[in-house]
Amino acid sequence: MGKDVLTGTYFLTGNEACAAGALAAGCRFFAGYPITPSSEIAERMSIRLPQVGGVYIQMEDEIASMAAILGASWAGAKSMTATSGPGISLMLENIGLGVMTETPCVVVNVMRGGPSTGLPTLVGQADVMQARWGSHGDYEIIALSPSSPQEAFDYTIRAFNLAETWRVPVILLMDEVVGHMRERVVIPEKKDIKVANRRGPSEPPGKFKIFKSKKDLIPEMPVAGQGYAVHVTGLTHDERGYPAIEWEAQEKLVSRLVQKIRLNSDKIAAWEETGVEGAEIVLVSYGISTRICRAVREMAREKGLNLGLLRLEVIWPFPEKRVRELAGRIKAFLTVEINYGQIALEVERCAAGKCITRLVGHGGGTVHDPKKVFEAVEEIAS
Amino acid sequence: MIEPQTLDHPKDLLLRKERIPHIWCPGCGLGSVLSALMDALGSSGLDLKKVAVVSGIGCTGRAAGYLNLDGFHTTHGRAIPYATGLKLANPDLTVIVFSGDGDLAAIGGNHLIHAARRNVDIKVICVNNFNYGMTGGQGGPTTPRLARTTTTGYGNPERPFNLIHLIAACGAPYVARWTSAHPHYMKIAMGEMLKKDGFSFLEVIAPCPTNFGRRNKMREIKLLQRFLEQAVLESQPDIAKADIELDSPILCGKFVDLERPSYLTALREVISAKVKVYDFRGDGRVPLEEAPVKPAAAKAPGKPAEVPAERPIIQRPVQIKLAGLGGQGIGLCGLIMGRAAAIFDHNQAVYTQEYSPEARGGASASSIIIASDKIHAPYVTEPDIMVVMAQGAYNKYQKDVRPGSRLIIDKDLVRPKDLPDSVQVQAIPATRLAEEIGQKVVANIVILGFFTALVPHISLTAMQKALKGSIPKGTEELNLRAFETGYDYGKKMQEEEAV
Repeated sequence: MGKDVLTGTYFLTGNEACAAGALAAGCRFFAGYPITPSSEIAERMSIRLPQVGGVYIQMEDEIASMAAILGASWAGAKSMTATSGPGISLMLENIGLGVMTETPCVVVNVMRGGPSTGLPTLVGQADVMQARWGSHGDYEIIALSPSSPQEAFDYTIRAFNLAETWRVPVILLMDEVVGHMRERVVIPEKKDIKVANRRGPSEPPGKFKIFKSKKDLIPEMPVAGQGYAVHVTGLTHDERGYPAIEWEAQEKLVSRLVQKIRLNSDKIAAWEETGVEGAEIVLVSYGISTRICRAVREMAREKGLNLGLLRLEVIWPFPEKRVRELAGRIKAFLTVEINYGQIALEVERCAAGKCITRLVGHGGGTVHDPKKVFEAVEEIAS
Repeated sequence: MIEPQTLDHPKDLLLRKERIPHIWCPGCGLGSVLSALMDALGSSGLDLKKVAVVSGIGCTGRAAGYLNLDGFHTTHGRAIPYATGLKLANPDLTVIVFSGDGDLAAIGGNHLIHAARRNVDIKVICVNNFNYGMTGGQGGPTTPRLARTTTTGYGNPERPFNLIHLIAACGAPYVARWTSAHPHYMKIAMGEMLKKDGFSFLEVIAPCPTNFGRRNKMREIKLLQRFLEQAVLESQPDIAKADIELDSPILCGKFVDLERPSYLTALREVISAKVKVYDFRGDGRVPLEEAPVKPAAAKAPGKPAEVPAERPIIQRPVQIKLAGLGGQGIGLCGLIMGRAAAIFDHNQAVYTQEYSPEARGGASASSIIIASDKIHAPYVTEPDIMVVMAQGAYNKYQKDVRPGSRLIIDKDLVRPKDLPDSVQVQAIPATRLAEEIGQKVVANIVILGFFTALVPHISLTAMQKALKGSIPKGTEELNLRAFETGYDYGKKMQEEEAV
């Protein structure tokens, strides 16, 4: 080994850092289809994976890419795909298959402006609700949002670890700016990188039921070729994995898929608070918008205004409990995002009328002008 | 009295008995196809623990669930890419795709042709019953012309796929066709596929009496009878004659059997020698040689190099914008500045490129923000310094030149006009100097040297180190000379100004 973690200090784009993070996390299979602004991830993986004995394959489309990473995961691989815009729309059906069959994998969505072909080369943050509910049916998922190339590296590792731990496709919601900007990225030594692996079966084939969960609601995962004769289907299934087309089976399975994330959301959700204690107004943001909000906080401080920042590291599951708590104490939440209100609605829901909630949003193509955000803050403050 | 004895059927080993009875209709051909596959697997000598079966959706799709093997019942049409992932992640597996004509040739048609082209080592058994059986007997991509289905009530006007011709044209090394009335030949074909390294395709024509047969006056056993009567068995059948009409003969046999490197074999042939890794698999279980530890990396791994003594301290973020035409090396120039500041000066630096479709050929720009403390907003909005290398770029980005800023230009190529108040213009004949050194492509490095001499925000040491690490091998001497030329020009200019 040795070539999978290229320890050192680099000046990388978010996309390059994401690829480096995937390799460090143990990803050895990448299937993808080129699309701006995510293509550099595929380009980098195509060079790097063969160097560590892994496989890069360019599929015929995004649907195939998503199917391939699910297949690879069931063959024991840590697998990933990366896409943007229309590509993520195409992947959704198979993301649902990944949820239903509890298949660990990482899907990177470098968000651009939409709908449709929209703004291929420019930023957007409007796939947040799609990450949550894009596939049909009822489910819970995990999504993270880095705000710098360093975080693109760190969060990609985190995404793999969450996927392996909770057996769910994890979505890394980057955005075009983070994907393309370059900054210093420190890749630590291999021994300092925490890597989680899925839990294999603790019993031999025979009595072992492949979708029977333990107390934590996560079943152990045998893979193809181990002699477990796994039966994996997107149909509603019983603990053996066999189709069971009846409401009782649906209730048992789907409630577990939902609860394994909901009941553990304290362990999965993650956010960063800056100056929230004692603040009257709290900005809520994620991804590149976080950095704009930090600039706005400094502008506020210069004017003697105490402005808090709640930054979502993990977007889904949403830090519902914390937002509810804060809503009872503050005057207003101001959600800053590059869309017309996706997380803003979630904030509004959790605030439940206990404080003012506002969106500072626009349709994409550029990040927020910190001055405009500050004007919105001043308006509420006065 | 003799006790009745129940004997286990030899094939039971391969079946999930608890899932029997199956859901297939009386007279359906799928039982025969599955049975032939079990026979072929049983006599293949393969370790059955390493056999995986993948299917899409529909009647045929259920087969994966009846076999007591690793089985994957995926989304409609996506069995082939799913199988591709399985095979490439663990090449020890024998991966069989067992699915229907609608699944593989309609919704999954794109995957089918690409997998055949790519020659991924998967074995595809396409059971063709001319319609969508489970969904209620609708027409599909293989429904013969004039045939009646629930969606072609007046007779099918479309020409169906000749799958044999199609897959052979894509380059698949093994292509065969039989009907479910030919269990022996099916078994032989399946056995050959299991041994083949590469994409192999078997089309099995099978009756769907409930839907297709009923609507085309071939109820119950009649459809199967027709297959038996009308099948033409040839040792070297002609691909072009493999079309299926409602009443035509059905040409059967082995159409293609040749050697072609499979995807993984080709991957090894093309890549191995270049990366010195001789096996590839997505699950990462490839033994690799320990990479030699470089002395420098061993000394201070993960830690940046020493902070240079002349590290510039930058209180307020400095915004720099570089503009030029595609091919002038504006991007590289910015990259070197960013690396110098972020890695060697231990400051913060954010680098972005102006990135729009027309920027690839025409005017393009890159931007760097440098500060000693954190940089929040990553966009350059009011450049403190602009570097412009072409008139076209000047015209495009002139609006960004703000009062009181510094403008660095190539003297011969840029004529600044309509300058705002108190802009300090600093000019160097960079392209001309580069030509004198030997190549005009290093004009950007001449400007970089000039910039380093005049602008205090990036140290000389950092810039030199970043330059060395960013240029192609073999061009060091040229680039260093270009850098020095620009730097000396800048220093001399400063001295003259001081006098």
